[in-house]
Amino acid sequence: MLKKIINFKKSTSFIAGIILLCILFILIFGASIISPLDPVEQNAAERLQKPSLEHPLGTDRFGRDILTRTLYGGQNTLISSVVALSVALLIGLFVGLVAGLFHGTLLDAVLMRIIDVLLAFPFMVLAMIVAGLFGTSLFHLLIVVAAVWWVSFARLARSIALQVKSETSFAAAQILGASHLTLILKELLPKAAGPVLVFATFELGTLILSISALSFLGLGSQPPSPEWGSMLADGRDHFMQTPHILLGPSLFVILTVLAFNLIGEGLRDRLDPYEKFE
Amino acid sequence: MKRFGIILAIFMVVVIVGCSVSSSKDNTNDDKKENTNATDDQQEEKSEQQELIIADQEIAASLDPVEPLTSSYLRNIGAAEALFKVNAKGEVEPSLAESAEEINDTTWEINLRTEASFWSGEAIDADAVIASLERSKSLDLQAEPFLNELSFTKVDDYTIQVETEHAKQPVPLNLSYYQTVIHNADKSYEDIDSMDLSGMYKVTSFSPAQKMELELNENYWGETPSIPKIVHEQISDAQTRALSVLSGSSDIAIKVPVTSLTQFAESDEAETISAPPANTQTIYLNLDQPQFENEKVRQALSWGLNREELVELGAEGQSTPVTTWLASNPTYEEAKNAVYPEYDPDKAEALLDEAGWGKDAEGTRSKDGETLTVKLMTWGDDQALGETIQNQWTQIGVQVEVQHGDYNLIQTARESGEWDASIEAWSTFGDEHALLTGQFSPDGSGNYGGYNDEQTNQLLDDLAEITDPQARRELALQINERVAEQAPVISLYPRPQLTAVSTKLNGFEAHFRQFEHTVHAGLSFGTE
Repeated sequence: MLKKIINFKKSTSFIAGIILLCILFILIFGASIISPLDPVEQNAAERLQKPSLEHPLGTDRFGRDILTRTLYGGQNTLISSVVALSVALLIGLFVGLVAGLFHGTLLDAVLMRIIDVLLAFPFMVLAMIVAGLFGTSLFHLLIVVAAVWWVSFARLARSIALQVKSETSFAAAQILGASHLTLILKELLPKAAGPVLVFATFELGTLILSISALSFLGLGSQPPSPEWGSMLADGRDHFMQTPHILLGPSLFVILTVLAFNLIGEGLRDRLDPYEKFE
Repeated sequence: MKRFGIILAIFMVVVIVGCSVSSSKDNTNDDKKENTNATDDQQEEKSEQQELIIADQEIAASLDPVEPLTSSYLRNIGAAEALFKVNAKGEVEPSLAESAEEINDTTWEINLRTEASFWSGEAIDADAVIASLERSKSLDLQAEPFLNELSFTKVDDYTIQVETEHAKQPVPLNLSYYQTVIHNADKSYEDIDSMDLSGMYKVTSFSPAQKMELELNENYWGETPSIPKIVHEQISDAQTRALSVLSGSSDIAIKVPVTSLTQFAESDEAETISAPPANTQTIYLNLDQPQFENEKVRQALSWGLNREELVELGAEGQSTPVTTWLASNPTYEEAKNAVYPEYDPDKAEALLDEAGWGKDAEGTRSKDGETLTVKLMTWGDDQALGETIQNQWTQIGVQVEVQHGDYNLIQTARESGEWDASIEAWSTFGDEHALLTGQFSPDGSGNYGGYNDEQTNQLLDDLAEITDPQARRELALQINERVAEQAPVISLYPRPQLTAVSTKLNGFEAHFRQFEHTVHAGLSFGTE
């Protein structure tokens, strides 16, 4: 593994992604140091100001500093995306490995049908249904994301588990009487973790876009809390008048997704053995 | 790395081009001159245009005029008519009625047009009119303030007599509201083939809350419109509505955002038309919620609002603050700042302290372990207003959650009783008694919060009996002030109404009740 990590030094995509992500992380999580302004406090006297030294990205319709809101909004977006993805990853890995271990049984069939149904169900529609039933909030949005996103991890984990099951080491562990839990933790999980993590890195970019899109539609973060998608939605009304209003959130969304995609690409180059031969 | 560089470069180009939009605005005058010739050419094309496309925030979700707001939409697009109508000057005119005569203080006689008929060809006679009004009275809650105190009897085939419960009720005005549109009560309103109204346009296709198409009613009794077809489309997003007119995709956009004014100022394709609204943007409080039981809390919420700032941030400065409900009616201008004359957060905090809602170190107020919270529901273009209120109330220690969504969500929440506060703007134009009763009597259809004050009820009863106009006016002001002091509702400002109209359309009339007066026979395309 260490050797593989050292090899990443040769991957320009990976290095560019890591550098970009580090810069973004420093900016986003150092928001309180970079900008002393309050991200939610309104100031009618300073509304829709153009970029200046005091407000590098200008102010929004409520006179709030856009840079400050973008940075704090990044915290909401990133933390919520990572939390949602982690939950989805854990569920997906567990379900996928269990389905793979019990391949051909009723349990496998039931789990796979659930996955098929969830894959067929439009994510946006589900988010709207949950919002309609329980109200709009970032927490509800994360539940929806986690509830839907795990299926793709589960399918990947299951297919890897099926591959591993045909290996001699797995057969040996079975013969030696390893329990199901041991088989999952010692045999299947280590081999599934790598590819699933690479996939998750790619998915994180998509997830950030999806959470921003749903917040744009008003289904996620609620006012006055800043979030990139909801900031873009807020800025629409004044875009023609003050185009800079969308600059901050759109720039950060693009750069963050780009960073995760570059990292994912670098990881795939190094961790996916088949990719090298393509 | 190279790939990353290319992507970043493309993005920067997009950003720079986007930012240059504002600077390029300075050069638009020259462009405008060049465009004039092109516009002239387009005028010729436009004069042959066969359909008028109206983009609206919401269109009908049903065909039945007794369903909430349906009659408003149907009337707006020329499909439905009431016995009377109010013109842009605020004067009541006959519509399906030919004339009206006050026989005595409690009796009116209304003559109907013999030439008018429903789309089906059936006569709009006394029986049909009475059946329609009785159906509205029994099925449409919103019609209650206008019809509940009236009873109708047939005099002859084309004359009806209206008895009022109280003296001097303005019957023609009551029968001018969209809730009283005349429809064939014997027909079903489940589909377009069976529905039967009387307007100059007939519905030819309908997708609920999406699109309605209408064509000329060949048997229309009045002036025949020159535009053969109307399309009424729902475009919920205000900015998209504005862009639809600017791009020529629609000819009229109702309720365009005040934020789009600059776009229209620079456009040759469309202009905005604004009529002074007679409605009050109001926060309705659910008085069944324990936090609003104490009048001091409600008063504190009103004192804690900086209405100047609400107008600036919530209405882009396109309105003026009012602190009482009736004040948006131009004839009651003195009621503007009758109560809560200025923003006073200190007074608001003192009232909350008196009511027992103490402030903790974090600035949040609570009482007996319960935090003082308000879930404020907004719809339409009121999200910014909601956020501004949230910010102002947070400063006096009230935790506010803004829920912005479809109007149906507010209706559903009201039906279930699970709501704290919502924003709505009711018309303040009309008969004082009908208006104030509708809002503040225990059975009023606009009394969402369940306000029931003995003294107010008595004053409303007195208002019904008074016939002297001056005394009536003074009593209406007294009721208005009492309600504002008790604060079951919190008045903010008249909701601005902007309509975007294509420059190729002639004959558009600004109306203070624009939402029901867009289509009329005088509209046409082309050069005048």
